[in-house]
Amino acid sequence: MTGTRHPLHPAVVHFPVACWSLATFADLASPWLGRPAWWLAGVLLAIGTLAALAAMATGLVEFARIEADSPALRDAKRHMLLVMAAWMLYATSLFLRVQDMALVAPGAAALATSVAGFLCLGAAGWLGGTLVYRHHVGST
Amino acid sequence: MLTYALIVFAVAALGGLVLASSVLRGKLAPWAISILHALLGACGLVLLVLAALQGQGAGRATAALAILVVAALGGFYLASLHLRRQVAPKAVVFVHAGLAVVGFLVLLSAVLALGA
Repeated sequence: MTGTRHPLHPAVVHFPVACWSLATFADLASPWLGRPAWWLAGVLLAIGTLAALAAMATGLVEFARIEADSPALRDAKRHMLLVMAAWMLYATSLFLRVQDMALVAPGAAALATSVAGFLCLGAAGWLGGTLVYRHHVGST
Repeated sequence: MLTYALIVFAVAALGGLVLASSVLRGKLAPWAISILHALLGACGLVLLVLAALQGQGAGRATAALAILVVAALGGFYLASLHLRRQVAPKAVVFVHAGLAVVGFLVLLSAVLALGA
């Protein structure tokens, strides 16, 4: 999805990346900081998981613009698959800490999926950087 | 709400059959049906999430949700190919459809268990 000057995806993608990353950090801090940390993590996960849908939709449009014979296509597919994995892991982590429409303290599975989601997100972000700075996707 | 989700998924599945028949014949599927299929799937997922969060259908609804979310991510990948005007690999279509059918049947069992 492009405006008149540049693609929308790089602007939108900051929201899920920031929310999800902070959520994982809050999760890791929750054994020491208790309820404020895990409650914040839950809220950030919810915002991040919804914001990611917008980021994925705009990314899909950018993906469609890559030339069929471009070497960027392989990295773009990997980027997309890693983001989808991150979304699934973070959504699972969120779901595991909601009971009766309220947030509860995350268990080991919720924490593990949060950390795994962060790892997938980091790898996807790295490939996103490769797409922009090496392949110049969206910048030419 | 589980029943509504089931109905929405059933209608979405009809669109999926049309899409699959196009892809399996090596043709690009019609855009309108593709978008409608995706929107109905997303709508069904939202209903299912709300129902599962309210505790309806217990473990079966949650299991159906997990399976259908994975199916939806497969659908996202298929949509990316469609946007590039590429006919999707049949294997990916079969995995997507297979997961969706299994998720639908698990959801159906949850609805039937609620009614019993």
